[in-house]
Amino acid sequence: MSDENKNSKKERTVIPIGPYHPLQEEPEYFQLHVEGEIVKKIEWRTSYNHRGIEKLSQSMSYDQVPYLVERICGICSTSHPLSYVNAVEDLAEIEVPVRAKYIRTIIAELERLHSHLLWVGLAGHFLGFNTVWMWAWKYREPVLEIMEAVTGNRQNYAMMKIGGIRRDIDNEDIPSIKKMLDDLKPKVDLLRGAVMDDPIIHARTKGIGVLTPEDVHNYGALGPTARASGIKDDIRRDYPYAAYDIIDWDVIVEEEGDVFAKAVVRIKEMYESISMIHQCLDALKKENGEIETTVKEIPPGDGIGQAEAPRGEVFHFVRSDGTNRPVRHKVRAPSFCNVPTFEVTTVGETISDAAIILAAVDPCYCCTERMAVINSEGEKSLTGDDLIKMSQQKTERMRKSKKENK
Amino acid sequence: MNEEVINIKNKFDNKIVEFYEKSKKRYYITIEKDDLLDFVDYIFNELGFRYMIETGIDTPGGIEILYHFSFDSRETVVTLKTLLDSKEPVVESISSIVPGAKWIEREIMDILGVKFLNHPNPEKFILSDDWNEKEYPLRRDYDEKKNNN
Repeated sequence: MSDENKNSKKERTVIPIGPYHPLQEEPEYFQLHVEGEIVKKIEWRTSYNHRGIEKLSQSMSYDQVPYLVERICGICSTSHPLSYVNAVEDLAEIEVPVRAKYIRTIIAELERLHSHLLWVGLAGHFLGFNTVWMWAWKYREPVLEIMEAVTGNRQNYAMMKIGGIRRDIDNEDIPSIKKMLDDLKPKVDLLRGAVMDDPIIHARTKGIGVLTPEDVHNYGALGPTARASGIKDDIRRDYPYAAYDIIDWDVIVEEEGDVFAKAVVRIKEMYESISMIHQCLDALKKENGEIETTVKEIPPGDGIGQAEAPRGEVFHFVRSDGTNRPVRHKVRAPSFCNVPTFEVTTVGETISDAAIILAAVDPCYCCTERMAVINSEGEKSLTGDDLIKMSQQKTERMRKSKKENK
Repeated sequence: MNEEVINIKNKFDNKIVEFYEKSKKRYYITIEKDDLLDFVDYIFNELGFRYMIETGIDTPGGIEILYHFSFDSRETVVTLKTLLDSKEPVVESISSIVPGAKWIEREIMDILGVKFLNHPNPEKFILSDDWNEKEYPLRRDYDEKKNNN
């Protein structure tokens, strides 16, 4: 063994992150191999919560599957059914009525709004900005209330069906939704100011966890994670579904690829979402048609469906043999492609930055269960809260030194 | 048919077993598994398609692996199809060309028992560590009742 290896073995510390923590959306287990403060390697183990959705889907009829895939994720719970119905509509070449297209877009964009607000809050918390956290989650509530008013549920909206949607939006409700959006906009301004104008947030997030365009290509990274690295990929623009090709909006792209750029993309996307929902609601007033088409049978063949979830492209593949159940239903969520980028973004960064880098792709794994120091005299254990605390203390130190310099 | 798909067709004219245009957005190309790396290298590195994911399907004729690639600016999904022998499904791993394929190949290994040659880390991925060896939940002969306890 060379001297270098000997030394690294002595100094290398392994920090386990996960697999379970109340703040995580899904259980996942990371091992950070660190030397001193610097992360040298990252390993992971996943699928603690493997539920066999793809297998279950084969035992259900085409009409039942949307309710199943809706339960894959609690936060982007409309992206999966939307992507699934896109796949079946691709397979059977079904055309969706225009009014249903608008309503699909409204639901998908309301979901993006609440998901991005949730992320801004969590990211603020990990950096030690608990006010941002409280604000973001408070202003997320009206979005969920509108969801409840429109669909009957705060989550798991059960709106998508093959060939259309299940519930219409009453034109009388449109003014109240518009009012909520108008009230939300100044709050998003507030959050934008809190994140984009704060020198400490700049110091903590700029140049941290940079993902290059080459790595985006290599790992197939998606959504805001890719768009923050200058890749102008957005399924809503590239493979227009729902009403995205009949309304006016912009794909938000930032060039830097760091944590700050990922935050900026999400914040700017909220404005786009608000504008898109307004346009769809205006269109609904004029477009009083059907909300579904009758689908008699699904022919044999393959179908691919895509939808831009808040975190990136959701991919569904459906194979039919002409019966009333899919023979194979493959689901790929965006985190499946975004999480492996940690391999390149965390290496070379400090432990206190690892939390926010892991959070930046929005999987919310940045909470540790415990930390054990190995290969040293005696054993020390820290809880997951300690890692968040380390991150928050770093922000505090920076704040203080900034004040002293003034 | 757009430029990129024509390029693939021209370059691998004699290697394409079957070419199927489902619609202007969806192309399915059946290939031999020995030609897989050539196709993937050309599509991913030279043409710059985005790697989407792989799908494994157990069919009566053998285990099919589908490699989905997307050319986002042209609204085109190209799917490479290759058929493996059910008794001994072995195929070269594409992770040397596409690093993002490491996870899904481990997943297909778990659920269908496909062996990916030269995979850097061929360990269990989605099934629990105490899952029975040689039992693959997405195989056609998988007995649910036996394992449902």
